[in-house]
Amino acid sequence: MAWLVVLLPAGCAFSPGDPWGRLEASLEVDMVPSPGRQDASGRLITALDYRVRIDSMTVQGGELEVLGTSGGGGEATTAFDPAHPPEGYTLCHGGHCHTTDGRLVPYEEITGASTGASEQTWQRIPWQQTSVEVPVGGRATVPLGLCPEDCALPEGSLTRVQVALDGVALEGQVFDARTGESRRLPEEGVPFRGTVTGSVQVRTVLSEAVGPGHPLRVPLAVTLSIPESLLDRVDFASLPQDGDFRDLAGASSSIREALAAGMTVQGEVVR
Amino acid sequence: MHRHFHRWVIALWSVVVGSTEPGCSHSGGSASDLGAMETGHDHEGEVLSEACEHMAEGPAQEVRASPTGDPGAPSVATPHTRFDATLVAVDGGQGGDLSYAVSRAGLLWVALSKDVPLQITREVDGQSLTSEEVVAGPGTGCDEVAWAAAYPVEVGTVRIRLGPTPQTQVSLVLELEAE
Repeated sequence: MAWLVVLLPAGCAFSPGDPWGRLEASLEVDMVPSPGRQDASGRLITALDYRVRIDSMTVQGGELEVLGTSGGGGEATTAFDPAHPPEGYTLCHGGHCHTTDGRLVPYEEITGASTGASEQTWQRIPWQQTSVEVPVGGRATVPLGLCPEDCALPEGSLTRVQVALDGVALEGQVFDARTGESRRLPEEGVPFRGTVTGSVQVRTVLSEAVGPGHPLRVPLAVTLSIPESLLDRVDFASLPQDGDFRDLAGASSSIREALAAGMTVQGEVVR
Repeated sequence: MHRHFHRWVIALWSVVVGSTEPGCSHSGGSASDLGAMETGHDHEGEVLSEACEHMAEGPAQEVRASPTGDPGAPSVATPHTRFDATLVAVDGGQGGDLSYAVSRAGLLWVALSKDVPLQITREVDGQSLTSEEVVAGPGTGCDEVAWAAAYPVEVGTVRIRLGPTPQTQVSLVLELEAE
């Protein structure tokens, strides 16, 4: 009888020793420019009228974090009212709120945040391979490291997944689409390369129950998307020269801002 | 369908009011060229509502227009922001250039606080853009916006040319309605 008393609080859902859920996370990174974002030669079109041939793009990570609210209910819920934004937000309209630090945050994310009084980190998984090459127009799988506590999840609800990127390294050739007196680079283009470091984190909302009546396995497929606007604020003509290359590190802040503003993550539990 | 109807109304208005004016299908112009129009387009209403809100409440940034043709025209690409532009001396009065780096193809709405002439050109080839929609007077939905025009844009930088005008200052709100 005593063993039963010990076992029940441990969350034996299906067989002795099993947790309420077991996370099976996978992570892919993609960069897929939309139609009209590439010219006939496949070069990326930027907002400053450059045409960029990316020969190599490597993302550096990072970790994947899954958050949830424990228990079968009782989590704090706060109705979101755009007319009365939560603390830290100012003007709310058109599906987003302005934050006091200048960001734009979708209503959905604020709703998730404002109901997260009991939200906790359930799993934090480092990237096993810290540098992953991502083909422009394609995707790459990120091998994840070991999952702590054998990926066990408590009873409750998965509420959020977030991914941290530590940097991006790029190499290629850039051309100027402006002509005549407005041309800023030689017609044949110039090579560039560089690594931009600094952690950028993105998150998305999940809603997936874990516990009695739900399967033990929780297969979570996560996709991190590098924005096509990555190089939009880079004025290649004004980058410092590093040997034969323009040094992209000279545009670190612009690229970090583009990642913070445009990088997205999607998460889906596929049973 | 609705947008086509709106264009038809604008075209009809041009004919009725007078073909001597630049009219609504124009590459440059001002509210006084256009008169007051009503609009019923849903997206247009949302964009104008947002423009009105930011024109009245900010957040605001000050910017000084560069002389006409200057390659270093200052950027007004920060979204959801009112730019209070100081105009400089140009041929025929006050005016100057600003720039906007477009990250997504769509309709770029430019709302102005005063009846100041406006012309949009692409930096990549100097081509002047023709406004697809124009709203002025009561049609803007607020007193703070004198007139607004929408320009179809692709990814790339556009130059926003203001003036000539007797005005020395004008405020702008730019909203990109992405495709």
